[in-house]
Amino acid sequence: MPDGDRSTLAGPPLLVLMSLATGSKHGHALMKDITAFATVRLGPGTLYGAISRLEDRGLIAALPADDRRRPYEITPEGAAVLEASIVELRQIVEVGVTRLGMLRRPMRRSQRVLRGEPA
Amino acid sequence: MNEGKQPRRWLRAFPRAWRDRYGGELQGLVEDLRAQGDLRSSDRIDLVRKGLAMRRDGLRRRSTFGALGIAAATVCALVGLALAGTFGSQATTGPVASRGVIEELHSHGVIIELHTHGVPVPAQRVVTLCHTTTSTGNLQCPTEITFRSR
Repeated sequence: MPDGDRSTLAGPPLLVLMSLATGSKHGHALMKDITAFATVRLGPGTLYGAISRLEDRGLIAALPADDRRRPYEITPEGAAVLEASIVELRQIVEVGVTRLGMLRRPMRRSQRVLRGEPA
Repeated sequence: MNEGKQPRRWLRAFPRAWRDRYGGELQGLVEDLRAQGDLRSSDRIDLVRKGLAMRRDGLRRRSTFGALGIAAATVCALVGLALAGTFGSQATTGPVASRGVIEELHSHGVIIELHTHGVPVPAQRVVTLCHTTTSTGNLQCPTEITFRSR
C-alpha cells in the first residue's frame, strides 16, 4: 500500500470524483447523486469546497455554464487519481474484512461457552 | 430578514476571490435547494463553517508567505550590508524587509533610506515593505531600499 500517497483522495473530493465518473454534472445533480450512492448528504459549502480543490488540482474541469448551473467533468488526471484512490480503499477494506473475521471467531466461541455448549 | 438576501449573506463567510469564482453557482445551488424545500439549517451552518475554514486557510498561507518574505529580507539585508561595506552605497529593492531587519542593520552601522514610488518614507513608519495581493497572491514590493555605510 502506498505510504502517505498524496495522489489519492478521500472524503468529499473522492465522492465528487466518483459521481463525475458517470458523466458531467452541476452542483445540485452532484449532491443528489452522492446522496443516492453514498447515503451521505454533502452540505453546499462542503460540496463546493471539494469542487474548488479538485478544480485547482486539475482533476475536474468546468464546462460552459447554463445560467448559474455550471457542470463539471472529470479530467484524465482525475480519472487516474480516482483509480488509485479506489485501489487503496479496496486494500484497506480487504484488511478490515479479514480482521473483522478474526474478531468474530473468538466472539462466537466465547458465546458458545457462555451458553454451556462445547467450545 | 429578506429571504432573497440570505444566501448572499451566508456566502460572505467565503474569501472574496473564491466568492467571485464560485459564489454565483453556490448561491444558485442554495436557491435550488430552498425551492425544493430541501434547504436544512445544517446547510447554513455548513456554508458558514466552510467559508470561515477557507478564510483561515488563506491566512495560514499568507503567514507562510510572510515567513518566507522575512527570510528573503534577511538574505537581501545581508547582501545589502556586504555591498554597503564594500562600495559605500548601494540601492536595491525588496523582496521584503521588516522593521526588525531595518533596526538590525542600523545597529551594524548601516544607514537605510526608503523610497516608495520615489517618495522618501521614514523607516519608523515601515512595518513591511512588501505585501501579497489578496486576488493573485503575488508579492508586491513598491519600496526601494538604499543601504549606505555610516
